[in-house]
Amino acid sequence: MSSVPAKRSSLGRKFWTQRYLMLLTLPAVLWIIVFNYIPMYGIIIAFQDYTPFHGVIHSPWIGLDNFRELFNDPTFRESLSNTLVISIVKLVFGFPAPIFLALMLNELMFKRFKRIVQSLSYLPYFVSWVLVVGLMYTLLDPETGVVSKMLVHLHVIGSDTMLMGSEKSFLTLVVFTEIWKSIGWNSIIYLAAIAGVDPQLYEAATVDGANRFRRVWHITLPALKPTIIILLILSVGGLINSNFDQLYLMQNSMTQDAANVLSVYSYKTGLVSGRFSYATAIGLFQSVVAFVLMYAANYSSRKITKESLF
Amino acid sequence: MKGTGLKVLATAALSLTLLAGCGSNSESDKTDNKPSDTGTSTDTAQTQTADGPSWKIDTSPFTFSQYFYGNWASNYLWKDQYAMKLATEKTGVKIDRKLATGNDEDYLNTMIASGDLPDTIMLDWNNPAVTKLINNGMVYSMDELMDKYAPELKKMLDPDMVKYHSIDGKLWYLPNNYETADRLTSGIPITPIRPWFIRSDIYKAIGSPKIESTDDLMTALKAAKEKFPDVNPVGVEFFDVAKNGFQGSLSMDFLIDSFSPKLLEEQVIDDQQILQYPMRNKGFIEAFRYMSELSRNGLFDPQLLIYKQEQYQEKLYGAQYAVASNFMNNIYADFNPKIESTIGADKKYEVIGGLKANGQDPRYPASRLMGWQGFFITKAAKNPERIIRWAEYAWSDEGQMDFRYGKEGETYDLVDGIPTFKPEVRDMMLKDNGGWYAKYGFQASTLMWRSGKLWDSAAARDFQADQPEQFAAAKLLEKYNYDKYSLGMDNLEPDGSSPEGVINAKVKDLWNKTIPKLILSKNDADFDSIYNDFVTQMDQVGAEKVEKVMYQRHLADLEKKGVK
Repeated sequence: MSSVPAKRSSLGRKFWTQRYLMLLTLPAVLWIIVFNYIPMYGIIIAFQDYTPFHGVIHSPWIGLDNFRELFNDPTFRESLSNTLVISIVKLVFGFPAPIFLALMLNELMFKRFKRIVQSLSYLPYFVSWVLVVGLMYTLLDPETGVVSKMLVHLHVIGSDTMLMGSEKSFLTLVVFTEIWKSIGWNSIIYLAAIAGVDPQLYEAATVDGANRFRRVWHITLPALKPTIIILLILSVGGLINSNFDQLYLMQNSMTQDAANVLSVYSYKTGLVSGRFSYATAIGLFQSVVAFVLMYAANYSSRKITKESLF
Repeated sequence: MKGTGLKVLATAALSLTLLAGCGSNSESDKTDNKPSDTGTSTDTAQTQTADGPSWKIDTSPFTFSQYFYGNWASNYLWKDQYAMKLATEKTGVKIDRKLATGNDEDYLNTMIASGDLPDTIMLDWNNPAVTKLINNGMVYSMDELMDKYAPELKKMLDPDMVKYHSIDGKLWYLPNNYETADRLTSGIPITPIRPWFIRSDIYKAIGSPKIESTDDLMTALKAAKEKFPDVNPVGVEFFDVAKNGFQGSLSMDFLIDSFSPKLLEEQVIDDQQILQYPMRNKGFIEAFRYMSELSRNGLFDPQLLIYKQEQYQEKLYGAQYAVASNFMNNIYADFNPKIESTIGADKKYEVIGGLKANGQDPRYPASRLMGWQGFFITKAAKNPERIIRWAEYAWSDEGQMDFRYGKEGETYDLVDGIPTFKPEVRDMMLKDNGGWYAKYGFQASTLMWRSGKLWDSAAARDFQADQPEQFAAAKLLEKYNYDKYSLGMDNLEPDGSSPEGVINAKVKDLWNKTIPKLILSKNDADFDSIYNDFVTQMDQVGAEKVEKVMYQRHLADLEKKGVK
């Protein structure tokens, strides 16, 4: 066995020396091939008038008809703009939030308190959206909801405001609950990066007379930069996607326009109305845009900051 | 050396076992049935004579799979209950019945799109997917199978039913709950609407006024609000046009049939060859204006516009509404008993009779059921022969009695020629319905309900005896019923994936978001402008095209019923 890898390219040698590690990744690779790559042939039905009777191969081809209809469909345009608005607001407020939380947690002197806060802050991540939205209906009920009552007393809203049934408060609720749910979980990766910073740097800075803010600004944040950039690239790629669970559950007859994002629209046309090809066209459009966005973010980041994902 | 080889093997084994857990179950299920049905069937077939029920030809063990459209139906699963065992004892057949794990529409459409069908399907006969199943050649025609394997079954079927349910000259499914013409006068009285109910103690406290018109109701509600400021005046079921139809909430029918007693007739405009959307009808819209008046007077909680059914039910269990609406049987068999045992008998709900509006009596479009679900045999069925013969059993009088009452002398007796459950069975049915299903499984095994004088009269007698209050309420409302059968208004909406279906979905979407706006409008002028905007938008997306198609479907319905 050991005689085999004597003369190989460096990549091959590296692969061979890590063969057991590679073997361990095998299930994950198989998983991706089976569930992500093989089903991908299904996207061809976006260019067909798909009927189950004829199947994926024999359904009649209609070229770009679905896409032509798509770009003339006002509901599609509406859902596209909803998707982008929700995602951008989520990015603007939701992206920096866990960084702040991580920085603040890191500055806590009392370690036990820090651990408790950290655990509590990532618990909501494990609560399903079904429960969260159920809680929202209860807490925001204008007659019986605790949070609603509190907001009325603070004169933030009028006494008859239905928060769950208003297009105006919809975006705020979407972004706020999303941040509440994910802030703790997302801060873990930053806390891990902070833990990797050499303590000597802080000591040296203290000796040089740097106060706490200076230390955060000149040591902690630069150490976090690569992590921040990579996560930002990934988030930009996700701008065109939205949280289906959250929006689908929060949708009701009074917020149906505000909650109509691409994934909800494609679900409704595909699975509810049975227009499989049209729904696939929506999905394909979404994937192509996501790919372009991510590639663009990666490219500009490589040019500007020299950090990039690939 | 040996060490590394072993390690490689171990890691490989580890990674494979991680993967292996997933996909093997379904395959082994399928192969289980095979040996039993191929081997024995031919031998026994030869020894039996051709006449006599076809299902007796082969009674060897056999299992077929079935998808039941309705994820609520956990009572219908086969778990060795009495009725299931009885059916299996006689025919050898077991049903592996499956329910959707989530939304039924998703489950069904995914199943159709992937072509991965069970042996049989129980699906509402007027579901849009039925056309897909038939046009895509995914199901057998019943005629073909009956001619080949079960000619007796064909003779048993009601010719009117066959005519009504045939598509392109063939019967593609067996509909259960197809009721014959005499159903309107026999059996349990039909209540085609969700009646509105008033809480007894509140009704007494406001002096038990007569509530006979929509104005009376408004006055009563105002009085109730004054005396009981903490109680919500009106409760209605959830609003969702896609799920409930154009009335938005099923509770709206009660008002709509008062404000627009001739809605169905008025929708048909013969000289223009269109069948109008109900939203164009003045009376229909007046019902929503009435809701808006309730809301303006503080008598309607706007949260109900965004509630899910469960949220409403929860409040209703707590008797938190002065006036509330629900499916009649649910009020008498579920809500009232629970309210009585938890809050007090005085807070039970009693029915409000039909309401006059603008001096006119209401009219409730009653109909015998044209069928509920169709029993489909798919092309994926490995042994359609056994399945169609089993259907013959289920359809026969014997099968019906086994399904509804079990064995004479064991679970029921004939009293004056009418089947009557043994006292212990009946007691359990009335007091512990869930336990009753789990033990006996009556009305849950074959699911092939069919009209029959014997069991229809038994049902009417039992209903009157077990539910005197509900019987009285049903009788009170019955006088406003009329037979809508001959109007040809069944199954009108176009198929969802057709161009008109797409427009129809848009119209529904528009109407769905217009309802809350109408109900929350601040005054009549506001209401009118919202309504006019809606009509303009509806016309813009092409509502008239759908109205033309609905007219054609209306003509087709008349023809199928042999009316014109």
